[in-house]
Amino acid sequence: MTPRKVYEDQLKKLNNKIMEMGKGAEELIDKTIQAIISHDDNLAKSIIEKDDLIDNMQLEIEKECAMLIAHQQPIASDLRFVLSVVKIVTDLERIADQCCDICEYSIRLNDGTWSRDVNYKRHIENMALGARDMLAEVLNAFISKDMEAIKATCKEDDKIDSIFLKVWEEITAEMIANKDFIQNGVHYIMIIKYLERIADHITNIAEWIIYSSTGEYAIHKPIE
Amino acid sequence: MNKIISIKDLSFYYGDFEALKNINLEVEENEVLAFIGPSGCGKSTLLRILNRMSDLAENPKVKGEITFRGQNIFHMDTIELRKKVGMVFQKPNPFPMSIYDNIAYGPRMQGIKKKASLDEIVEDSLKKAAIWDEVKDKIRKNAISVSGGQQQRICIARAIAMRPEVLLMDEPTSALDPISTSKIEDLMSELKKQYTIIIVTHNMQQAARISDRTAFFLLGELIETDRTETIFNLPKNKKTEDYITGRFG
Repeated sequence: MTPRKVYEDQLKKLNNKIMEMGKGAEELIDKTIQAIISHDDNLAKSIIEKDDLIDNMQLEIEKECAMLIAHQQPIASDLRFVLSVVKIVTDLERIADQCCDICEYSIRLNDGTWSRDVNYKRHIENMALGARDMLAEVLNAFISKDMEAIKATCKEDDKIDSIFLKVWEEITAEMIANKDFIQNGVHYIMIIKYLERIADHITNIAEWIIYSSTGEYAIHKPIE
Repeated sequence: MNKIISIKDLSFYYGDFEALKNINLEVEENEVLAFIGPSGCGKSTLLRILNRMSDLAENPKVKGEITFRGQNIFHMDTIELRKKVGMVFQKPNPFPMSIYDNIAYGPRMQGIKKKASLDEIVEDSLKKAAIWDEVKDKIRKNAISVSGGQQQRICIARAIAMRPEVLLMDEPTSALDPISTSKIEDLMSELKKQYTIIIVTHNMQQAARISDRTAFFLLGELIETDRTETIFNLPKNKKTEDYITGRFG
């Protein structure tokens, strides 16, 4: 038996749980894209109703982290891992909340201009797919500890930010030109803002993974 | 920070067994330096060499140099050295005599006979060891009659009475309950204002709480020395990381 087998098992269990929560958030982004693009209100409502699942995962993981700290007093890389998990679950929970917010705005989209808004839907889809891919890559890098891959993923956030600004300008211009578009335009702006925030949360997660692996505080610093 | 002790290329043998291998380490004035490492790594051996308790071992052999304030300790008179470099052991070991006589023992051996001087030394030492208030009314009682935690602080006071510059502590709280341990730990942070403290401990959290720097030993080698916050957050050597996180040892 290796020393501290129970402790090792607890750390592995925590690792599995955070991966499970991450995959849950990734699926949620996928379904959210589907709900908007196909304007599927039932799917949007079911996503909102299932928000508790991610909330409960967050609470459960946070409790396990507190127990691990109290019982095992992790230090060095183990402590960084546990602290990072506590921070990452908060970001994952916020991503899930923002998927719900997007779904609420998706339900509010009216049929008036919907069929003509092909361009905006394509932008929304691109942003959402970009965010989903970022999360998938960050979760893979969490397992592989590939810091170069994770730093490259962080840079994707800049692309999503620039799409946001470009689309926001396009939507605003059309709202000025076409009063019929104003209502949906506001909803689209909210949706792209939430997508931009989701990408920010994924960047936070990536930065906590860098901290966990290297001890380097990447938070609030530009990624080299 | 001034260096108070310098260890250069030190190897130590018990007979043919090399217990310490080419150790190089500087000890700074008024720091708490913790020695950590698994049993048999040489940390207690090094502590004992620092006031030449190691001379008492069977067939000891030393290579290299240790200087205390520039003087080679192996050329110093051991009594003079041990006055400057006091020691507190794992198990409280008060002499079977009154608390007063325990503290006054060393100064009396040094020729101090005047009662007023001894009274002053005893009170001052017990105050510095944060035990005066607890024992001032029973100072003539046998030191063995008080609790383990109090006995250990009396032993610290006994060491302080010799006006040392360095206090060596060999797992000083491992035989104590958590409250007595906290008192000794608090005491160490007070004592370091006046003394340099080198502590051997198996308690990782204790090393993290009380020391300024930590030295990790393994199989007679000094693997890594650094600021304690670095050792416990981001050690440079994987062996250090594996030991402090409990992966071996």
